[in-house]
Amino acid sequence: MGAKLMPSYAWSALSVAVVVIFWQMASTWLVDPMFLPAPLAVLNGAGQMLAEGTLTQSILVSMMRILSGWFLGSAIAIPIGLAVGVSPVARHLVDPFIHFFRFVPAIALVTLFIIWFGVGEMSKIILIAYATAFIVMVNTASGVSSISQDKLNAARCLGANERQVFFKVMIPASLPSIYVGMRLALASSFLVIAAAEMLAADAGLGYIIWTSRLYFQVDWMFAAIIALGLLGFATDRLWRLLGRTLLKRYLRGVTGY
Amino acid sequence: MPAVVFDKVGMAYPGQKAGSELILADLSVAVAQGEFFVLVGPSGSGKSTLLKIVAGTEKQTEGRVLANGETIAGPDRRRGMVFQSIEEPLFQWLTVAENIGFGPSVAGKPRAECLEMAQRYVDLVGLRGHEQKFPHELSGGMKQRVQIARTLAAQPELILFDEPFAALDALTRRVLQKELTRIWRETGCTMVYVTHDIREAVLLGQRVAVMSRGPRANITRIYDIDLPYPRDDLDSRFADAVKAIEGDIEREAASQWEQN
Repeated sequence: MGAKLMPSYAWSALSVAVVVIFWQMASTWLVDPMFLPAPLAVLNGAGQMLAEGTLTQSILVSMMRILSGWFLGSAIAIPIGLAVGVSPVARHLVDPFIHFFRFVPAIALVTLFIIWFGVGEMSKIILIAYATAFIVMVNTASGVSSISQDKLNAARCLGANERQVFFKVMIPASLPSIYVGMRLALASSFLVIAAAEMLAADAGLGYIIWTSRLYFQVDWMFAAIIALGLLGFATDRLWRLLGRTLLKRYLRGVTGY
Repeated sequence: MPAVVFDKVGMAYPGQKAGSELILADLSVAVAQGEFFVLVGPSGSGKSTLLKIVAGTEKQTEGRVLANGETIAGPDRRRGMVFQSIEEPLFQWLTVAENIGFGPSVAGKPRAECLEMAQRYVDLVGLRGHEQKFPHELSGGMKQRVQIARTLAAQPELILFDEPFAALDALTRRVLQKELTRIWRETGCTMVYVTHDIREAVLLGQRVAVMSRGPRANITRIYDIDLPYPRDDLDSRFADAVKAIEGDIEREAASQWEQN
């Protein structure tokens, strides 16, 4: 009904605009702007950091950590997930670890990884790889094991050997689950990076959020938080774009959300 | 040499004690080369299990099954299978042409040749113009045409059908039944067709084997349907054959009630 009134993205733009206006009004009349800086003040703070180069550098540093960890985690998790989905023995071997580490959040491992891998890039990348790997592994495995026996047997009856069944049927048929798993993992990578950079880092968006506290620069904090959200939004959109173009034929039936 | 020989075949599913709760027991029958052989029976009579044994995706626990004189070691492109499920057996990431060319492609044929062969079977099953579509863009009847064409493109000697039209609407089913007898006569493949629809059995089969209800299911009787193709279900001989088989199955069902 309302869709006729204006295009769908216009509704979203409208809701964002309303929230920003309320925010501006709140920091003008309701709350001390020391605690809730107005949108314009945040924009100003962001401008300052952009001019100094800290914001751009932090975005690049955080993105590099997220993407490296995410790729590394996926590269480890997909083969294991496939193996777990295909072979009951592999499943029984991996199952106890999956069900144990599921309850150990990446954030609980931050300090341990700093001791093991130092305060440099390595500890953050491995932390994100850890957070990514479990999500991707579980999704991949459940994707493989939910492929219908009819599909596999159809391939076999058409003359495919087990290697061909694996590469030509199992992998393409489980791509939707791998894709969705990686998308979920991407979101949790953002969660983890913020925490990791607060504890031990000399750059990155999490670092800005944490150190702004020392100077009571709440506007910087806000700028970094918003940058984190926008970056996440943009990477997720890119991932969806990839799904809708290159991987389109494999991902039919994967819903937009 | 017969296309398929069942020799005192018995089947127990894993977890069941051998001999005690067989779903199939002591079943013997031979299917001739090029024959259209139909198995009809109530659900739970192990018809599909029989097909899976011939396909090589399951193994009998008793007796022998030979295809062209050889014991069955596993799935083989020489024994194709058309499944009842409409959605699952197709590869949804491949186009109609690529689905049909799957058999030739896993046999190592170059892509151009696969597509050329696919085209031949696209034409045979009447899917011209739909080659570049994906399965989700097709109706149920068209999906089953793709399955049939894909099975044929792998060049089988024998095709197993597991109630392939059961999930389709009545009109589509009638059209496909007619076409299947045409395809059978054009290709000369041996057909083993499972159904619970007696009318369909008489419409398609040269011989119709009636199966008893499980456990210990077996073939109770084999009817020779000596009517010319394409068959006319208004023909009185057609009706007689349907009636005879129906009587058989009703008696079978009734005896089952008395036992319980």
